[in-house]
Formats: sequence, C-alpha cells, structure tokens
Amino acid sequence: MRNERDVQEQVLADTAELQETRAEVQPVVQLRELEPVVPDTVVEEQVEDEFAIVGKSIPRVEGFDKVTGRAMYTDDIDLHGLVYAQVLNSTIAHGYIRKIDTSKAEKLPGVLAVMTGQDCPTLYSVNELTPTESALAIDKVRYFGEGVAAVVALDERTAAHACRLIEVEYEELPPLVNAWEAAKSNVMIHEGADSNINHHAEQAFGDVDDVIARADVVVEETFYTSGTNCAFLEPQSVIADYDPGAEKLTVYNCNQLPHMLQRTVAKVMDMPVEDIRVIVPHIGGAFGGKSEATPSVLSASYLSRKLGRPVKLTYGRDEVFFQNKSRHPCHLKMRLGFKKDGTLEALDLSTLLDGGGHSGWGFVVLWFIGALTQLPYKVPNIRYNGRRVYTNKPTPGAQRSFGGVQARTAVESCFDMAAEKLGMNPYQLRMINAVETGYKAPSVVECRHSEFKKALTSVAKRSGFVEKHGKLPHGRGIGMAAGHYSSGGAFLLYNSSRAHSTANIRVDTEAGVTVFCGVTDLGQGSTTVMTQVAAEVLGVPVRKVNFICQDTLLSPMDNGTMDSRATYGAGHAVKNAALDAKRKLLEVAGVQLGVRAEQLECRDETIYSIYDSKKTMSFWDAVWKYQDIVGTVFGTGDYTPPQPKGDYPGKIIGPSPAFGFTAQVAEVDVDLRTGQVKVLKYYEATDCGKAINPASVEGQVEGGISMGLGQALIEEIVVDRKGRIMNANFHDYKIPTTMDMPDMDTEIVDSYDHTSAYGGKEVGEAPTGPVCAAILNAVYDAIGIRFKELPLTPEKVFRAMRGEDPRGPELEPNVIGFANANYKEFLEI
Amino acid sequence: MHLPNFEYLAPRNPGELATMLAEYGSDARILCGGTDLLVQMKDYAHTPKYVIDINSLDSLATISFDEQQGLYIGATAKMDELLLVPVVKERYRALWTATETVGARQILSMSSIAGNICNASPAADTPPALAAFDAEVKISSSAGSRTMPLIEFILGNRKTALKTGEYLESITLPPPAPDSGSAYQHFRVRGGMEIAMVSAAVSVQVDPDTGAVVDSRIILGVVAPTPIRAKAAEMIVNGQVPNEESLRSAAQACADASKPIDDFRASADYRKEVLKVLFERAFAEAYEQATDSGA
Amino acid sequence: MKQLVQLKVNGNTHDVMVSPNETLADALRRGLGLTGTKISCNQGDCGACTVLIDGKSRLSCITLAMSSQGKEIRTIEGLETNGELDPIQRAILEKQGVQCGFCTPGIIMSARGLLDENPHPTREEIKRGLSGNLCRCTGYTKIIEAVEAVRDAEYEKPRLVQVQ
Repeated sequence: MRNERDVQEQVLADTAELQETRAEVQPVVQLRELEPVVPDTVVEEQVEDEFAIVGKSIPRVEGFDKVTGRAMYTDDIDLHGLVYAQVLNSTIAHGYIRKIDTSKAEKLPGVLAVMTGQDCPTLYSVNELTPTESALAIDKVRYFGEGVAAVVALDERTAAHACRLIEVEYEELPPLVNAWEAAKSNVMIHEGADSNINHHAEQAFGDVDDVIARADVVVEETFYTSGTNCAFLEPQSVIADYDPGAEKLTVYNCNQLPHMLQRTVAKVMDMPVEDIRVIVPHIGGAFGGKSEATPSVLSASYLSRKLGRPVKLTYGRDEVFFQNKSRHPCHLKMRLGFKKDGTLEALDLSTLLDGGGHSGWGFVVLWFIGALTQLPYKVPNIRYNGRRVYTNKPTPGAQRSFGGVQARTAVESCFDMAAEKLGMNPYQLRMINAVETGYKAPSVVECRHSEFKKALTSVAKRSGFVEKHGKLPHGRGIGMAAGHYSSGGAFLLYNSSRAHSTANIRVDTEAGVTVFCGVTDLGQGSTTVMTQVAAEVLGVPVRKVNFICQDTLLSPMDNGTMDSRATYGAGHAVKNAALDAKRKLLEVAGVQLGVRAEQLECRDETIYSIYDSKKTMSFWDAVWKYQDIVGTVFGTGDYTPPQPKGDYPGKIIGPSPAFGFTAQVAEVDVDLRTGQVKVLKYYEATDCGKAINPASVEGQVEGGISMGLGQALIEEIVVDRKGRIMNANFHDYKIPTTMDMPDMDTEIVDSYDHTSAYGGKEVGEAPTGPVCAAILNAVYDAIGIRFKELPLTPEKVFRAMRGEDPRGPELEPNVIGFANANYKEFLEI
Repeated sequence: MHLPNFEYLAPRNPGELATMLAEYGSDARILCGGTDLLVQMKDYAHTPKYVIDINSLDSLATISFDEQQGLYIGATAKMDELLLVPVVKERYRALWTATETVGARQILSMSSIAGNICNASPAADTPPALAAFDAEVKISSSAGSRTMPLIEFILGNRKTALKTGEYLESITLPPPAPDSGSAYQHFRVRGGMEIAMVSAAVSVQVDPDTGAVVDSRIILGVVAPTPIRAKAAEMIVNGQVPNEESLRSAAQACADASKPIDDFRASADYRKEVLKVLFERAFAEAYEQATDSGA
Repeated sequence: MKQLVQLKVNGNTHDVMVSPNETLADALRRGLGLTGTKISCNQGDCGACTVLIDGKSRLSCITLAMSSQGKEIRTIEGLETNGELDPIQRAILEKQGVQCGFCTPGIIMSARGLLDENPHPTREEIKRGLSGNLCRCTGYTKIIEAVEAVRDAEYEKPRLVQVQ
C-alpha cells in the first residue's frame, strides 16, 4: 500500500506525455432529439385482476426435474464414446513459455491426445475490439491459472494425472498485479501495445466544473469496490461432439449466450456458423459469469475434431476462479454538487478498473459504470472519465449488477454524506431527486416508466427509517441505498440490425402449444415466465405449453440472457408470436361461430364471444379445424427496442426501453470490541413493473441481496504479489451461508409498465447494486465512521474505531489495496 | 481435484490396524472421516501408498462417562455422536461448543474428535477445548500403548507425537471438578461452514463460598502452530475473585503468550486484539457456569 | 486396479467396479448414472454432493466409494415413493426454494437428514442444519420457509383413515 502511494507519485510525474495522447473531450450538449416514444405493443386494456396466469406464483415449470435430480446439467450428460479432457494451468502470472514437454503425458496408458496453445491459435473475445484470448496460452501466460496444455484421456482421472506429467519451462516476467502500477509500466502485458490501458471512456454532459464551483454543497470522495467471483454452484462444463461425417460440431455448454458462443466457436474452429450447434443444458447459476466462452469450450472443440469423438471438459472449482469473468475491482472518485434545497446539480465520476489479463466484457463494464450514474436521480450535468487497465490477474467480466455495485457504492455513499451536510434525512434527499416516469437524462437515456418513489416510500415506512436514522444506540445503525437497472440495452451486441428477440410458436393437436425462443434460463426463471406469457395470450394452462430454448438449431436468434433483458425483450417477442397465432386461430374460429374474430377471446381452453356467452367453442376444436383447413398454426413475433438518436462516445451503453428500481434499508449491529458487522434485518422494495411471477421476483430480490451482502462483508478475490489467487476455493472465498443472511422484508410495489408485455420489467440485477452502500451507510449510522473500501472486514472496522488507518500494516500478499488517489491523479493516468 | 492412486485397506479390528501400520509405516495414512485427509490428498499434499480406513472399527467408536474415569472418546467416534451425549453439553460445555462449531451437519457426521486432533491443524476447534479439560490421549501400536497429555501430543502445524506404526486410540477427559465451568469462544468471518480465525477455551473451578477462582485452564487456539496454554494468564486469575482489572491483565497475558500469523485473512496484531476479547467472553461465561452450578 | 464393490443405493444393490481413489460421488455419477448428486467444489466446502449414508448427511465428494460398501446410501433419486414426491421436495418446488437447481439435491438431502433427526426444528436450527449447503441463487429465505412448512406438516401426505 505504501508502495502504491509511491507509484501514484510516479504516475503524476509521468503524466505529461500521457496527457498529450489523451483526446480532448468536448462537453456534449443538445442531445435531446429523441425519437418519439412509440408504444411497443398496444397498451394493455386488461387490468391485472383479469389475468388468468400472469401475476401468479406458479412453481418453476422445470422445477419437478430439479427437485428430483432428473434435470440434466452439462456434466451430467453422457454420450456414446465420450472421453474426458483436463487442463494444465499456469503456475505463474506473467511470463514466456519457453518449453513444454508433453512426452511423458502422451505415453501414459489411456491418454488419447495432448494439445498446446499453438494447436488452436485463433484469438477471440466476446467483444470485437480486442480479440486477445485463446484456447490455451500461446508463447506467453498473462494470469495465474491460465491453461497451457490440455490432455484428453479415456477417463477424467487419467487426464488429470497426465497433466501432472507435463513439464513446462517459463521465463518469468514481473507480474503487474496493481492497476496503478500497470497503468504506467513499461512492461506490456499485450506485446506491441504502447500502454496497458485497455480502454478509455470519456463522456460529458453540461459544464460540470462550472456547476460544481457554484454549488451550495459539494461532496467529494474516493472509493474502492472489490473484485468478487460469481461463484455459481455449477463449474463450467462443456461437451464438444464433432461429427466427422457431416463435418458439423455440436457443443453442449452452460453458456448464457448460445448464439454468441456459436460465433466464437465458429471463428476459432474456422467453421461456418451454421455448422456449429450449441445446446445449453440446464445451467447451474451464471450471474453474468457464463456470458463469455471459456477457453475449455475451444480446447474441447479442437480435441473433439481431432479425435472424431465427443470430449467432455469440466472445470474444477479452482479453475472457475482462474477463469473468473466476474466483478471488476474498481477505484472511483466521485464529486456531487447540490443546491441548498437538496437538488442534485452535477455529478462527476472518474474510475480505474483493474482489468486482468484480457478484456472480454470489460470495456462495456467501464462504460456502464458511468451510464448507471445517470439514474435513478435527476442530474442535469454529468461527466464520466474511466479507464480499464490490463493486469496479470484473472480477467473480470460480467457479474450481476454489472457496473451497478461500483456506481451505487459511490453515489449512494455520497448521497448520505450530502444529506448530513444539508441537514436532511437521507430518505428525504433521495425523494427530492428521485426520477419519475418521463424523466430524460442529459444523455439519450430516458426513463419511460418509474415507480421509484413508491419503492423509496415503501421501504422507509416498513423499516421505520426516518424515526430510527441517527437515533439508534451506538453500535446499532440503519442505512438506506437505492438503485436501478436497465431491462436490456437499446442496441444489439451483434453487428447487425436484426431484432433483439424473436419467438416462433406452433399450435397443433400433436404437441399443444410450442414456443421456440432464444433466451436462456440461468435459474432466474425465464422459461416459466415466458410460458406464463404464452399461456396467458392463448388462454391455455401452463402445462399445455412446451418451451423450446437453449438450442441454436431450434431457437431463433436472440441477443441472449444478459443485461436483465429476458422478461422485457423476449417477453415481448413471445407475446407477439402468441398474438399472431391467436389472430390466425380466431379467424377460423370466428367462421365456425359466426362471429367477427376481433370479438373473440381465449381463456380456460375455450374461445368465446365477448358479447354473446352462448357463442363458444373449445380451443382445441378450433386448432383441429384450423389444421384441417389451413395447416399447423404458426405465429411469429419479435422485439426491438426504440433506438435513441444522438451521437456521443459510449452512446450505445446506457439507454434502455425500461428500468427496474429498488430501494433498500439495512439494519446492522457492529461489535464494538471486534469490529464485526452483522446485518440484523434487510428491507427492500422493488419496482419491477408487473410481477409476472411474484414468488420468482422475490427469489430474485432475495438472491440479489445475498450476493450484495457477500461483497459488502466477506467476499473478495485476494491475489498475492506474484499474481497467485490466495482463495481459489469455497473454503477461503466465502459466500454467504444460511447463517449469514438476515431476515428479509421485501415488497413488490404496485406498478405496471405499459411499454412492456404484461407490464413487467427487470428485477434480476437492480437489487444487488445498492446492498454494499446500504450496509456502509448503516455502519456510518452505527459508529460514525464512513468506510470507502470493500469488503468491510472486522479488522478494517476495528482499526478505524481505534482511529488507525483501516487498511492496517501492509500485508505481504494483499495487493488489492485501496489507492487513495486524488481527483487529479485519476484524470492523469 | 482428483485423488492420487493408492491401495485401500480396511482392518477388521484394532489388532489388524496395528499390524498394517507396523507393516506399511510411513507409506500409510489412516482414514477416519475424510474431511481433512481426502481434501489434502486431492491437493496432492499427501500421496500415501496405502489408505487404512478405520471407519468400520466399531470397537473404537465408544463414548462413555463415569464419575471416576471421566469422559472417554474412542478414535472413530463421530462429532455428532459426541454432541448427543448429555453430560458433554452439561459438564464439558467448552468441548460441546467447540464441537458444535465445526463445519456443518455433514462435517459433524463424518469427522471424529481423534481425526481433528491428529490432523493437527492450528485452526482446529476441538483441541483447545479438550486441552482446557487436561485431556489425555492413548496412543497404541503393535508394541503396546502409551498415554500423554493432549497439549503435548500436538507438536506443530500438522505435526503430532505419533511415531511410525502408532495410532491414536482414545481420548480421556478427567471428570470435571465440582463448582467448575467451561466455555469456548471462537472468532470467524462467516456465519457457517467456517474455521476459527482465533479461539479461546477456558475452564475454571470456583470456591463457592468466596467466589475466588481455585484453578483454571486457559487455552488459546489458532494463535500459534499448536494450542497454547496461557499459564501467565491462569496465574493472574487463580486465587482471587475476578474483577475488571485482573481480567484485563489476564487478557493481555493471553495476547503476550500468543504468536499469531499475518496472512490475507487478518493481521497478527488484530488477531491478538480479538484474542483478548474472546478470552474475556469465554472467562465470563465459564465463571458464570461455575457459580451457577454452585448455587 | 479397479475392484468390485457392492453399493446399496436407494434400496437396490449394485455391483460396481471402482478404483480405490474413486469417491462415492464419482461412483454414483459415472458408475451408476445417478447424476442427481452434484459436484460443485469437490472438496467438502459446499454441500452440493450431500447424500444420506445410514441416515446421516454425508459429503459424497470426500467419501470413498470403497468406504461405502454395506451402507444404506440414499440419493435424491431415492426420495420419491411410488411416484409421490417427498414432502421436502414438494415444499422446495412449491415455495420456489429452487432457482438454478444445482444446489437443490444437496439441500433437499440435507433437509431430509435434518428432519429425520429432528422433525420439529426451530428456524435457527434449520439455518444451522443447512449451513453446510451453499446456494448462490435464492438467498436461502425460501428454502428455510420450505423446511418450516414441512415441519408444520403443510406438506404431509394424506394418510389412509383406518376403518374399524
């Protein structure tokens, strides 16, 4: 840590040359030309009481399989002739591979093949800007645990044993494990680059400096949010099954984005996209961490093609940590300017993201942190300046509330600091600034629907926040924080202009209702929700609906399950497809009944006239007739969000057709002698629009809070000075257990977003974002000390209570220390 | 995450166990619960040629108590069984608490007290509590048996006094003195499935008339390679009615006796501070029990 | 060298060839195709591989297949009786204590073991009883509520009334 300060001084000294290369950013103004808001579907006339299936907490449609052990996850699948691969991982974080001797491994009985990086050299990335990743390290390793060789054998244990027989000679390079250090180092993690800065994001709306100079109250603070791991229970697993006859490849993999994975595999394997079929079995949790291709998918694909037989490769828990692709460690510098009456006038944020060895989703996270400061409070002047730096650490990527934990920790802490300066209750300050339906940010971000204030009021009321805040005994505290998240972006990830979601539907007497859709159920419940939507439109019970997804051969192209977009985006597509099928069916039914089709409705497997109760027929009789006369009932529907106009850097990240909101209150107890923080009770209120499945919504909220609570108090990936992860297991990397979770009091506020299919919007990510801030604010209320660094370990609290530097004496392995940089340094890296 | 190759042996009685150990010596490891050994073997920390599974040696699974001999715990007795013995909860409270703290139900049903001792992890929960009762261990081999105090049995991180060919056969705790009480306190970051960062076990005997401490054992855990007995702290509390000042200086004596490590979990300095708090809390609890039972 | 062992799983005795270094979890999954038992951490830290051995919750990823001979092993596949879900399975399903489902078999076996030993656990005892099972999706609330519901006989199977 002391070293880090030295480094920052060096950074200061070196800034002159770097400054020259930095592009001048002009404040962007006059961006208010938005396309008129066009309702995406006809405004729903039904009121929610009239829904038959939407709004009901039906159990998961795949739940029976999950509670009986029938549900098949990737590693559960066996194929004829299946063989097993394992990976040898690097024992250093940075260096050249000088020699790999695989001869002993090749001779081990049962071993079928050994591969190294050169065998499969095509570079890839989930983003198109920085394809630097490979199946196995080629000539150089950039992080501890990177794969350097893979072995395929008749069984897994033989493959693992063979890996131990491979000898690797490295020439070590100094590992860059500190983001500040890496930013100015002359050692390049990616050779040929002139800096380790992976990406630089700059945005400005209005004249922030001027407004802050004139503001009545300014708060300014630096924060550090830790790097965590998604810690899904199912380690990534893949089966690659190359068919040498057809020259096609089937990949079974627990990936959130099968259509993206298909493209990555096609690129690396140099095969046409249509010759790759991705099947996603049940996924044992993902949280964003399964939204990129793991190198194992490419190694298994290569080995399967080489052998002409199916190859399975399942990671160990340590490899899950090595491949990481989870939350970015992030340094933040925040400035907020308020008027005396509490109105927020300007927000100024700088960040430095510790990016690990590669980029992946990293540059999107970088922009997202900035974008997520534009809501949920009205702020007319915003500036964002962020950098993402390569380091010799496992690469972070996407994790639930992607960019949100970082943004919320800084914004919500600063809000409480400002409230104190303004002499206001933190709840009051949030209410003054909370966004409402129709709010337009100074960027192109527009909030088309919000019940955020209802959520704030609900949580404040239930927790007794106003009465308790500042009045609990020393050691007890209450803290509030709030946030939001987008229900999918406005722009497609794939380089094309096609629809974000498409659904096809088939209705016949042979299979009932079958929906083909491209979203992936990670456990959050999209399959159940989509089934409810289709069943609602067609008036059939849920059990008559088959939902086919997670297979690129059958599922139409989809932007995928990420960015909390499934319910909103794919929900639209499924509803539109079902409406299309229904319209066709009702025309035939209308002829049968002698009624105009538009006067007919479907419910309880019956088609009836809304004006004449005697005019009814069975839904399935109508389907039978339709098949006789026309054929199978097919419907199709798609969805593309409105595209905001305007042009400024980073525009594609931030705008969303809908935002979900959350307001939270934590009550904590601080052990004044040991510094241990215990969360006693957690209150939350969600505006997720109409809850299609309320129990599922509660599950999302409760799970989201538990992930946030873990990050706030106990979770952090710890890397030593050599770049080795100290806690790549579930013993030392601690996620919350039953004993760590407080009782929760959650509420879904009354809300209906008329731009959405059945009024629903996101709930998967918003609840995770503010948890750290709520706990930090509660700890401040308890002991009067403001912590700015996560996680809040007992030792940090203890030291701060004694008036010491909470970071303590420098611990040799702990290099993810906080760098207390001032604003200038942030700008000048 | 795969086990290395080994040969599996399952003795049918303690005699066979002794013979196997005599024959295979340091090439063999004894498997009882597996919660430590198999995890370490998956990391290739041990690659024994032979694994001797003593799980089915029911004759070593006894737990018994009588007023003269005290508490007897056989080598293969599982932790969850110990928790069900009423006398343990009533009169060996520190041991009960330390055991109850271990892992979770699955771990408790697999692990044995003997295994917890022989694994000799500095972070183990039960050894400090056992030592607070002056537990003795019985060590056997084909050549015979010997006993020694538990606190001398654990020699260091993963090191015990077991010689090649020997195994730990049983643990014996003397009957608790009248008007005595005990407590175990541990500090950990997570609420469940967690090992201690620091721990303290205290047993005290109190003069029911005066309230003065007659005798005490103060054992500190996780702050040295082995559980350590804080004799200086015992000297401070013995012979007088505890008061704030004496407890504070005893707590300081505990901290002085400790030699904790600095690692990514916590600094040595902090561990010492927590140790003081744990000692005070454990002492208060034990003292209260001792005076309650006297009333 | 593989050896023949007899494993008694869910009431059926199976002859299985196993290596000495094969865990029970591997033998169940790869040997018997009982893939309901999951491997997540593979070193005894998460509870996903929990099975009942002679009625007790055990971690099959750190139990040797060889050690399991002659014992009554019960896995998630053995909880249904005559096609009827065990009350704890029903409760977890209906209370939505299941999301991704990967920890679910372990949670259910652990809860079954707990309820068999203590049919009326308090909320605290339930929390402690399930503390060895990590779940990343649910935040545990609905799982705990499901176990409470079983305790409170909400999912009791209808019993046959004996007619005199």
